[in-house]
Amino acid sequence: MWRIYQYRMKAHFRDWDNLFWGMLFPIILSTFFTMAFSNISSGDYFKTFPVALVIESESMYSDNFEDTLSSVQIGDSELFDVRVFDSVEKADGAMHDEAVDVVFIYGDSLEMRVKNDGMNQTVAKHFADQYVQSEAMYTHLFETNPEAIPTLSSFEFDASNYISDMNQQRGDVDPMLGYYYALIAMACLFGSFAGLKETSFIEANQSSTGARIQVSPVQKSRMYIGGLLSATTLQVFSVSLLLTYMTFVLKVDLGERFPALALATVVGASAGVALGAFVALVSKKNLKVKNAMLTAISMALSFFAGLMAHEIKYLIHEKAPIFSYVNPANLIADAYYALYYYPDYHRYWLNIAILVGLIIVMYSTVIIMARRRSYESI
Amino acid sequence: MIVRVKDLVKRYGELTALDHLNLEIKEGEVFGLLGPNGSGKTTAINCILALLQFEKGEVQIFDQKMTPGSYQIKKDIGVVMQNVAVIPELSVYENIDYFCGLYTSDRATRKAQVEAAIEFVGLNDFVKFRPRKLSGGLLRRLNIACGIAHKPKLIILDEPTVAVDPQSRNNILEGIKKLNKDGATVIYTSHYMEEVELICSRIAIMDKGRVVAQGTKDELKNMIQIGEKIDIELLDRMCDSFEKELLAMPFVVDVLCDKQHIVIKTQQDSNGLNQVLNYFASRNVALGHVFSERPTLNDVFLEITGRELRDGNGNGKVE
Repeated sequence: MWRIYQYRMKAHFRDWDNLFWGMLFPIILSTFFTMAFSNISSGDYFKTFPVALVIESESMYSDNFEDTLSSVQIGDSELFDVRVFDSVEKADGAMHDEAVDVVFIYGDSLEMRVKNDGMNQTVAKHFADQYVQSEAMYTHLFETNPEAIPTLSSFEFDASNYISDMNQQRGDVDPMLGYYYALIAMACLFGSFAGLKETSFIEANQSSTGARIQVSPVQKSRMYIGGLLSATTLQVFSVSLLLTYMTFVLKVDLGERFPALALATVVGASAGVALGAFVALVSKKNLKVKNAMLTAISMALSFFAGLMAHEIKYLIHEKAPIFSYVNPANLIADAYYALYYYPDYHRYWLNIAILVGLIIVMYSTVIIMARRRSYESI
Repeated sequence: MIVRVKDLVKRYGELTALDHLNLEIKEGEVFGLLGPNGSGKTTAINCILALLQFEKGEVQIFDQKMTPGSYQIKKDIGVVMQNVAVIPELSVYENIDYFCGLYTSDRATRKAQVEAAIEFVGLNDFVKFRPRKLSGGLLRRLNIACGIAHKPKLIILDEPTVAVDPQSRNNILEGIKKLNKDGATVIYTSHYMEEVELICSRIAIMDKGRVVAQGTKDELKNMIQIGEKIDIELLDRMCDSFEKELLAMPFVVDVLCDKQHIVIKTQQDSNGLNQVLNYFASRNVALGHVFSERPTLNDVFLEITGRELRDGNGNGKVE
């Protein structure tokens, strides 16, 4: 099997078509992204968005929260368009009608409600987290050593600072990261071409080499493992090259959680290869048609993951949430996104787990389909 | 018996590609499967190799039932497919090594086998070439080397000379003879009767998925009425004035007339040439060239099926 793997690797690295689309094309596209996004700043990206505020019990603290919420600046304008409601029900109703994106309820503690996931909700969540954390610290100081701080009312937020702090592990946030994540997802899905190639290479009804392999005394499973492992290795290498290029040449900050990034890359690349093998066996069309199908599928899934317009990702999540959970491109992009924006790993592991589930489903189908030992026609 | 095919039936929907096919191939033979495109030769090969499912019948190779999981049997079979089956990204040497490696795991043995195969097909000067750099003939030779490098006991060649130049074709045919001389049993499919006549010790003629005749080439030629074909050029007369008289002769089977050119087919063991020459001499007809030959396999096919071997029947999909 090792020999099969070695020769298949050799064949992959000499296939210029696959190398271009799998390796060079994403790098070229990332370069274009950087050129196109170079004059877009955080301030251009984060627009003022409406939030609801319900004060359940008036106090110095609630006044301070309202003042702070209203004063957060992004560029020359306020980040939050604050709309005060006298009841939680009315605020929820406004959110339901999509008049506001987020509801803040200030009572004994600060509560935040959202209807959907999205960039605005993420920003609001980080603001709330940071506010609660800072308020606790100030309250503690106020109670234990009031002279140490001026007053709680001087507690102010600066939008650019807190956006910077959204991810607790790094400095600047690149608002265009969503596009890069979708691009990485697309690069992973381009592994489907190598998966298709390997499967077609082995199956007698898809290529003459397949017929030659089927009449040899080597078990099909060994051919599949050697071939698909080589395709996965190639794809992991291709995506790693893209990540290296983005990090060191384009200076895109992908974060520092390297083991998790590596795992997302391996799982993403595996999902791409599995998709190719799946399409190869499920479709009865010829190789050219299957290649065209995979191009269309990869681009469409990447589009829905926000490759061309980042808002699409949130629109899909809102209108067809199930699709966003079965779209491998979205799951891959979201795993990287979660690593960058979330201090914990909950969302990351959720994406990885669903991706692994999809890989298992696709490879199970491949095993069932490939287990047939002779063909109706060749 | 090396290969025994018993009552094989293969259908593609309404079309019966193999209609109760029976074959027996003995050790040391070069067995030819001859038939026009669409006669079912390739389908038969694919069923023998357990690549294709079939509705009825049984295939035995080396006296064991052949199934897709018969790995022990497969170890001793070499297959040269009709379509060139090589890996475009690998060199000539790497291709042969890759496919040979599916049979031979020992590195040293494999190296010797690969080098012998390269020598055998005469690709020594092209070992580092990729397939796309090779001419059609060289590519066919590579295809053969990939199929026979592991020194199989049974070699199946499915139309290996299609689209090959005459020189490469001769090399391939000579190579097959040598493989047989070295001990391999060969099954050779073709629609070129000359090739089959040249190299095969026994031949099965196929038509519409059935074996219509089987035997050595002499046995096949003796099966039909025609014993001799006499081709004569008349120098000063048109042939149509003799056509009726010739056809009326008891030993003449058929007469084909084209202006001053006449072909007379005579019965087996009739000493027809002498009688025909005497006939024209008695009528003072000046003759140009005179040529006599035994019937070809095409004549055998024509007499049995009523069609030429190379007619094609528009049924190429079966192959």
